[in-house]
Amino acid sequence: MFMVIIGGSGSGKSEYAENIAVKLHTALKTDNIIYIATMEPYGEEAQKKIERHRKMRAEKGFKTIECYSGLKNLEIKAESVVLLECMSNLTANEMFNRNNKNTLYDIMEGICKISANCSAFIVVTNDVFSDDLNYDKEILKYIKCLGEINFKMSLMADIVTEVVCGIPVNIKGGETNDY
Amino acid sequence: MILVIGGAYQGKYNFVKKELQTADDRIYNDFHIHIKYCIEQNHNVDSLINSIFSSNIEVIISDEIGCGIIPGERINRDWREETGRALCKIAERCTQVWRIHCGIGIKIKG
Repeated sequence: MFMVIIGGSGSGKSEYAENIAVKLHTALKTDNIIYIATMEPYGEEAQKKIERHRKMRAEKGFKTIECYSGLKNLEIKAESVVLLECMSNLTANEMFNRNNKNTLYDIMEGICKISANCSAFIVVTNDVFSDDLNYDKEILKYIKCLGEINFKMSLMADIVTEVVCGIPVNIKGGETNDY
Repeated sequence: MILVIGGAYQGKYNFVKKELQTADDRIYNDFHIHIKYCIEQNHNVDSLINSIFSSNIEVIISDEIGCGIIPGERINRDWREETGRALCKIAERCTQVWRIHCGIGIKIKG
């Protein structure tokens, strides 16, 4: 089962995604529930965000794997529910911190590999597409790349859900109860 | 309480007047702007939310401002995130939530 969860900043998408992962972990009786964390812990704001997310998921039983880039090299055990949080960070890390010219294909290779191997895979991604696009070339490249990743993931996905003010709005596929 | 959200210039106010039949003095408009004011003045966002809920306001209207690239300035990053979090809290307490695109309302809660 592959699910994409999209939302804007502060939309409540992470909390929703964590709860779905826990629900699937229980329903599918998998051995592992894994959280792939992508935010690099540099700077006060990033640290605060990471801390907030750690607190939020503390009691939910996740095993955290840090993966700031190179998703395709990650080995995930088969009997797992996997939550990746979030695609916008991973894409930015690849493009801006690793200068990876092949970001789109490298990330999609990782996505395909994990979704083929694990029991359920949930990816949280950002809606960054609704402002004035008044940015320099590099940022526009990033927006385009993230858009293409979201598009390709959504084609593959069984379920795509947008989270708006904490409310899930289903845009593709059925309910997670079906799995 | 009813929450009405959507991008800028999507006809939110008109929708509230026409479809939800709410009087002007029962509408709390531009909630997102008030959040920016709260941050600038160091006011508590939760107190603002509580005071709206304990008033005679029936509808809160806010722009959705979280669907773009992370802003360069700290204040705008905080504003964006605080607005999102505040709207989650409000939506939880509301009986209905509407999202307006191109003047058309879609009910996402209630």
